Amino acid sequence: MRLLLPTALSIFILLAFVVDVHSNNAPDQSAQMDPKLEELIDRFTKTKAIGVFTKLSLQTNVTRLHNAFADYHQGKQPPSIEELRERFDLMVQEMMILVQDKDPELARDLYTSRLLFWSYLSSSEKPVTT
Amino acid sequence: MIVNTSKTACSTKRYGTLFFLLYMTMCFTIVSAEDTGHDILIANDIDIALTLQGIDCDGISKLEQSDEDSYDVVCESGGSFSISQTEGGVLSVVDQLTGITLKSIGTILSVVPLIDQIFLQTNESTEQDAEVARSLFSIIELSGYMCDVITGVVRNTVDDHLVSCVRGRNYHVYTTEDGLVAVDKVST
Repeated sequence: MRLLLPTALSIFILLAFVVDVHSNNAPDQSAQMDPKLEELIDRFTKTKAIGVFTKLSLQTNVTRLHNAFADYHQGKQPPSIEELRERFDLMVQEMMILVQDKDPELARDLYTSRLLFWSYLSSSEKPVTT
Repeated sequence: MIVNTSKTACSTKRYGTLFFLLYMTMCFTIVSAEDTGHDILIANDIDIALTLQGIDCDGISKLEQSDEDSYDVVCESGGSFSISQTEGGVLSVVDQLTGITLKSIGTILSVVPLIDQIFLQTNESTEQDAEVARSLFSIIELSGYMCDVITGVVRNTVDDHLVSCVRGRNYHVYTTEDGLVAVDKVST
């Protein structure tokens, strides 16, 4: 039963990762998550291509990236937006290499949606200059 | 006739006992095989989880369940870790040699093995350097290649890197046009 917990938490953290980045500043109606992204997150948390501890480990890394985004939106430099982009792309690569053999469809959709993810994360937020 | 009946009964009893023993042996074998298969899956899962945290485990040589969702593992590379999920669903990794708990970024950076070495030339390592190195290390190891310590990174684009590891191992980590992550060994 407890094995369901990390899956549920992974969904929560991944959603929080995306949503919280926007919630640091004024709410933006355009910041509604694309249903395609929601579906992708749901598929990633449910895939059997990777185990529970792997998902928890990814969750830890996503949380760290989320914290870096939060720092950026609070005006801290570093990280710069270029650095965040590099970390984001490497994290996508990590996720893809975990699933591309056992769940190639998910890996492909993750790849094709990565710019949508990035656009969602970065477009409506502007760094606070200090 | 009485003797024959008795012999038949005795024989039936023997066969019954033999059948029961065979049945129990089969059940035990099946359960053991399932347990072994389950352990292999867990060990592989934990090995990947540790790799994603930048820990060079090179496979699990010993796995012991210490609690419902907690395992003590010994790595092929020699490290010894206790890995579990906390009540809050957060991954907890304790290095049993140093006692350091890896739960948040503040503590994890101090024990990622390659952080101190990655920018050895400038003797500097930022959080960005550490995270880039950790990701590249994970991708290389998950591809089946070896990279004990990263000694240098050259960034071509955001998803195209040349990585130098110790012992002259160099890798090209990139995303193909087909959208697959690829790692190529680069000869020096």
